[in-house]
Amino acid sequence: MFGIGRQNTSGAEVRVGFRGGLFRVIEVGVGGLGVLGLGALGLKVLNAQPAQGFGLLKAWGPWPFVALVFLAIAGHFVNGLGDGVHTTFTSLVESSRQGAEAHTRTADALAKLAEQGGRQAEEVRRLAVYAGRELGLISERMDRQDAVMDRIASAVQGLHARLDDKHRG
Amino acid sequence: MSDRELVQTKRRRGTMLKLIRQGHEEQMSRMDDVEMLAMMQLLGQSMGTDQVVTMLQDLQVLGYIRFLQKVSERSGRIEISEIELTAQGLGVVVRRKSNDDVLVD
Repeated sequence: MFGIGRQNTSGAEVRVGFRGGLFRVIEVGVGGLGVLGLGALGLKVLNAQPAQGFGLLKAWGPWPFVALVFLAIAGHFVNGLGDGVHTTFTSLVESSRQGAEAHTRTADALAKLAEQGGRQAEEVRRLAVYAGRELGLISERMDRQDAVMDRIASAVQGLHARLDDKHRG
Repeated sequence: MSDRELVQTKRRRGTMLKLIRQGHEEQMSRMDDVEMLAMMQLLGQSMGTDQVVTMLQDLQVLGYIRFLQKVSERSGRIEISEIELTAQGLGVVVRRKSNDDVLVD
């Protein structure tokens, strides 16, 4: 699960499968053809009259040998090309994965912010409702306390007056 | 628990019940433990998360409220949501009748 601050450290493993394998097959095939060609050429020369072997080679010229060497080298080149393609695919996939992760983290953060904003607005409303209701009741309580204090004050004045009368009398 | 702490606890319970009732009257969404904590702190009550959860659970045991409770898989703490009054809780709050468990001013 992706979230803020969480990092997925496992890299993307790209199995290009058929595409990557194809380059290897081509490399082996082309390189193999070159080796086989050289071998076949050599056998032909040996099977022909050995004494005329050099003459036969001279008659063919250098181009068959050049072609066979080229085939062997081309195999290596194709393999390098395959490695390059594999690396490029791996980088692309890794880049896409990281982009998707970043999008998910951004979405998570925005959702949390929105939720926080909504909660705070609701808390303010609840506080306003509570204050409005309770202030009225607090005022009523204070009015009742005032009434009680008035009664106490009256009682004390009456007691004071009776004590004065008793003292004079 | 001293007398002062007891009165404080009863008053806090009463405040929680009033908050739940007022939210219901305003047709607001039901609170969870996080919102209840925030409201109590805004009203000047110095309470922590565990205290709020404990007090809500006590109110449930006493029969004044009911809620949904689950354990968070990520944090391992108890999460309470969808808090609402029971009939008994409603009676206490609406009639403003304090008792041995709850102080409703």
